[in-house]
Amino acid sequence: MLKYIIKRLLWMIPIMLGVIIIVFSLMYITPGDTATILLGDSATPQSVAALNKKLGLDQPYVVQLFNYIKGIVLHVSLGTSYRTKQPVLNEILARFPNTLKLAALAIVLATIIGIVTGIISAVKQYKAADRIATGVALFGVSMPPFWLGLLLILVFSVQLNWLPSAGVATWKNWILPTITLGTAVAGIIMRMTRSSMLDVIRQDYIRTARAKGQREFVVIMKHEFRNALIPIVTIIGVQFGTLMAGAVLCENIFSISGIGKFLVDSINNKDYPCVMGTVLFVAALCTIINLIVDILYTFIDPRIKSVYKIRKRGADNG
Amino acid sequence: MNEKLLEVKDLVIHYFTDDEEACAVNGISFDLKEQEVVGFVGETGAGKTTTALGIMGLVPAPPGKVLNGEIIFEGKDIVKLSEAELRKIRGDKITMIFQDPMTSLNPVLTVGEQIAEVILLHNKISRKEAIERAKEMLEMVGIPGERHEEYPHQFSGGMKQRVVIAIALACSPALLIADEPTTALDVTIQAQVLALMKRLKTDLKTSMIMITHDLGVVAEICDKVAIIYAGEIVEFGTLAEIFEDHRHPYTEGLFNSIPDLDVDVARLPVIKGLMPAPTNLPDGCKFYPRCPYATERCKNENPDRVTITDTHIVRCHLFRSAESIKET
Repeated sequence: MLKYIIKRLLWMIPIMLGVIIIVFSLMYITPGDTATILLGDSATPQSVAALNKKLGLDQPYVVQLFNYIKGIVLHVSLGTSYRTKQPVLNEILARFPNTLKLAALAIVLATIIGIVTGIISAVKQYKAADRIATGVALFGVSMPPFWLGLLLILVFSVQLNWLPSAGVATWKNWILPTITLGTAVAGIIMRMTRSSMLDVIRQDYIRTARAKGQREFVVIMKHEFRNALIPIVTIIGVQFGTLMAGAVLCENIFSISGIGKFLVDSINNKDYPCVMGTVLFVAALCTIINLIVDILYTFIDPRIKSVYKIRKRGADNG
Repeated sequence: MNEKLLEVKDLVIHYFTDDEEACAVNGISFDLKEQEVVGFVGETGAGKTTTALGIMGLVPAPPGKVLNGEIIFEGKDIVKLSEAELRKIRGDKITMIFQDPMTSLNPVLTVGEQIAEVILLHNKISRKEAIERAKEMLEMVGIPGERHEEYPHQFSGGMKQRVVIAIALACSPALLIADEPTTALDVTIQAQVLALMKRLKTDLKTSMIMITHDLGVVAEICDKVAIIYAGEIVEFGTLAEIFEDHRHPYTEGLFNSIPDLDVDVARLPVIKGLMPAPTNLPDGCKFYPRCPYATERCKNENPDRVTITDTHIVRCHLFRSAESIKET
């Protein structure tokens, strides 16, 4: 198992290298001269050339790429922000806790609601409870988060004046963003749980469990849910990764200083080192989450674990 | 000693879909005495498994529904029992071996856990003791006890079926229903599983219902045989009566279609036609469209049970009670 984890971690190197090259190339071919933007319209050609030389932008593409990778590997540096002149990594790490907190709150809320309603929906297939739950889930998935966020602010902040609409000062500030971000994900998890459970409900071993005289609740939780878990965990992992990067709108609406908002601000200001750094940071997070999900698989399904294990005894000797 | 363990009277189970009604079981009646093994023989879709599920109280509802009949087990009517009462019987007094061992075991639980689960449900013992008992059960069906911590995918098909048998026998049931226990297995493993079942019959004296379409399996293990066609028992008798002195044209057709080692024929005789769909059964005798002896009466009137001997019952217009000469 340890060998497998190390192998997976080593695999992250070529993946990240690929991400770096793609992101760097995209930034390189983006039109617009950085120095001109930084200096403004009034800049002289001499000062533009001087700044380009200072930033290393007069070098050929390959050299720039190599320097960027060298910076990451040797100095754990993602470069310096053009705007704030601070190391990019520091800027990201300063904002990351807010993003992580928001994503974690949203995923926890979505997982609880999604799994509970998904199970109920599958067990009561085509009954009223199922119809209502699938209807609400469809609504949740279809609702654009920015629209839902604005509605929530309108009702709970403006009309009722119960909850704050911006900032991260108290725990109350987190309620509306969490609901805004979690609603769609809850719908996705609910639908996955339902279909995955329905697959398992028709399996013969469920009938075996009933034939043992087991209580229906235990049949559902011990036999059905555990077998339905793999696709559910997968979708939660994917959604968690997406939330890290995709909370942009939500962070903007609720004025939360996270990396999503930072990314948008950086793009608007052509602050390329910050854009690249943020994308790389999120990509690294996603691969780590994927690794954790893959490790979780082996705890859920022993068949997956045995693939990674070299067994001393033959699997089949009967 | 030889008391009635199970009495099924006029059992009717239908499946309802939005626009059709599938008549799976249409008035099945039979008795099962203690220590007796009765074989259910019939084509796929004849209602064998549905009857078995009815006895387990496990007919999937919806779409299934028990419309009529009694299933008296140890003096209680299973049809009328509550779910909680049924749960006490299931897995403890009546157990079932399902057809396909590959899919009958939960892939994410160890086999030991799966055997211990049924033991824990019906006995007041600790988890540790239950695991010990599960190991003993594995040994009994010929699997080393230390393999209890392994998962189903680590066993071969024949071994999985033995685990399924171990689950079914873990609480020493009074009645074991085996639903085609050897169908999904290859021939050598079939022989092993059959030998195991025979040992259970002689050692544990468990009553069994053996569902199969293999008359060879029936000859090996059964005391009595029920020939089932389109949800009805068309002939019921002891092993000797069915094999040596069968009366019903369908039974005759079944036996004629077994290859004979001494006679060289190009093609095996078959029963012409197909079993009627359970959604569209003929009036009168269900077998008349395929019956070589069918008359006008067979078309309109469903035959009653005709008693040939105390143990031999046949459902056919060709016979009268207590006489055994064909009319045509």
